Amino acid sequence: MPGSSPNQLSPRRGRVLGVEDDAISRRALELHLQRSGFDAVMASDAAQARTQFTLSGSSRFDCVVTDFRMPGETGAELLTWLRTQDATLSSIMLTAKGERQIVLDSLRAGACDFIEKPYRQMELASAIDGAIKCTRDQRWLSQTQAEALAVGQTQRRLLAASSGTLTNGVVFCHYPKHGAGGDFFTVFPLDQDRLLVLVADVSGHDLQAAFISAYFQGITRGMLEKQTKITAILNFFNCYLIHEWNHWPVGLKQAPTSIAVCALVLDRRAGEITVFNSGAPAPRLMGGELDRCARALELGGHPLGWFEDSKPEVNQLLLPLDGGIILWTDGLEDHAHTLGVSDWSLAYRLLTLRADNEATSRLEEAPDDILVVRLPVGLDRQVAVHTLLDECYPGSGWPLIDDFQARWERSLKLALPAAAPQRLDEICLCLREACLNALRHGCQQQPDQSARVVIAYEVGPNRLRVLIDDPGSGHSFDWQTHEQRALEELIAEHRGLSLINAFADSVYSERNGARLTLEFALTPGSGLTYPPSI
Amino acid sequence: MKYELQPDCLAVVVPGNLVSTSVEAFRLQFDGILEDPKVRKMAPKTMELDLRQARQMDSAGLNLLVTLVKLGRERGFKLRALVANPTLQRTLQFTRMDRILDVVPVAEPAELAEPA
Repeated sequence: MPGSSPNQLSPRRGRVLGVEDDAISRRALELHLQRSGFDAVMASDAAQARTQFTLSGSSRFDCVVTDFRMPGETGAELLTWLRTQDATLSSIMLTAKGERQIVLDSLRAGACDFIEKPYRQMELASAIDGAIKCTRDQRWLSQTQAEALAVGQTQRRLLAASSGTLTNGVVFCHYPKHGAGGDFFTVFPLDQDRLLVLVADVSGHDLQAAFISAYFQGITRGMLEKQTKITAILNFFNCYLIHEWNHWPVGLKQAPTSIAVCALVLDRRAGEITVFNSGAPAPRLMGGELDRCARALELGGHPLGWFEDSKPEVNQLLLPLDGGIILWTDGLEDHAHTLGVSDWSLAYRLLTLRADNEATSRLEEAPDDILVVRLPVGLDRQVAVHTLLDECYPGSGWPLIDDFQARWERSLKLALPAAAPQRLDEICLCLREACLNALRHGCQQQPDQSARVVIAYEVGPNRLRVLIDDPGSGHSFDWQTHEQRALEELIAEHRGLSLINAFADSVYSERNGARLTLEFALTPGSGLTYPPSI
Repeated sequence: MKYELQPDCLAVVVPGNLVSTSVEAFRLQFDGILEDPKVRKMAPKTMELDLRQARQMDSAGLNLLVTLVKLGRERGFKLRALVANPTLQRTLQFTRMDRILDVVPVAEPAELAEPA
């Protein structure tokens, strides 16, 4: 935008509204302003100043210089009104010597400077120059923010249009930190049976990132139309970033622009998924089997723009019959870490939020752009089971059980805000028992042995399913006989299991209890009994 | 832990959750209280545990209660628990602890009650 740089003043130094009730002082102020090269518009009190401001229309003032003591409204009251009309307009208050309280009031009302009377012309001009620069900086910033928001709106429209939400069952949440950002995804049908899903994260979260993001999307779609292979597209953009975009001497002052990309090809005819990953968080599978093999996808590769010879990691696995795949950018992981919750639970909350003020206000604290995309992979195009937590804990970590439990509680309460907190507390208590048992006995408190905990939410029956799996061989005993003895003879063993049996709606035990699957109804009167009858 | 000798009753305030990470410290304190010469001399008929500050109790906490019940059978006192938290009440009910000790539901202290 030529001539709109915040650091340049126009040939006239700026348009100033001067407000002074005393006629002689007002004339003196006007002369000072004109001799210093400002366009001066004068008013004799606050009311006249309001009129002048309203009449100014597109010829906006760059600064207001006002006396404090005037008949009717004070200068501070005028400034308060002006702030409501134009928050970018800077102002200077004229005060008598020693009026400390007035100075404070003026600053609170929005004045950016003050000058004690009597003043010298040079002093006044210098203060006005500073105020005008401040006004122009604010206006430039305001305009940039508006442009960023407009770009962001365009991005969201493009994402919605390219996601094919109606036909593919894709659900997403896109939250750019500054209105527009570098995270994006696209869904592209390669043919009747094959679908490409591409999630990418341009480094940075500003307009430059948004620009590169849009450029990459355009290039990618164009090359896909020409049936270019995914690896060739990624290689092309890697070379482009290295040789053209990041073409400056290697140094530490400016980080190169990079793009973390994960591309998935869902081939329904072949029944397989192919993953191309260049530095993005691994996509995750979720479905009826709680420990569905997500780890096969955990391969990385470097982001595009780092090294000339880097190649995406490519991996294939069988397409599950049910469930879905979820992808997110690293902004989600950073924000989950800040909140002390699992990535999965934050992802679920974001995908399900609808005009949820609390969740949106939490997003404002996010350190980076956030994008989460979920797509169904089964034939029914539904994601009926959503993982809320999938973590491994080392056997030696059992003394940290209070921290683990607090994390489960935070994660569940974030993901399921409508669930009864008391019920979630009971579930976490059972999980504590099962996890402690797995870490102490299954893993024998060893740092190189770990127990896996998976929590999944079944949307239809409103039920939580929990898996606790340890590498031990479990412990075989007759539960019914033991429970009776535990009560009558007050023996201590396995009291944790009685607690789990009491609160869970169902308990499935495999490998002598080394692998437990628990189900907890969240709605009283649902298919399972809640509370359990004794 | 604060404790007070009342007529025929030893009242003990448990200042938090009875869980695996806290139970050993509480066990030592209970030991000290029960070995207090004044307590032994009075030989109270009831030991009242004020659990109003506890939100939860896991198996380690339940086992501590079982130990106290057993000790009470030896020394001739009964155990009574004042419980405010609903989850804790249900834990004691579902694990049938309410059959071996007297569970008394009471109101939650105002400073611990979660806002509606």
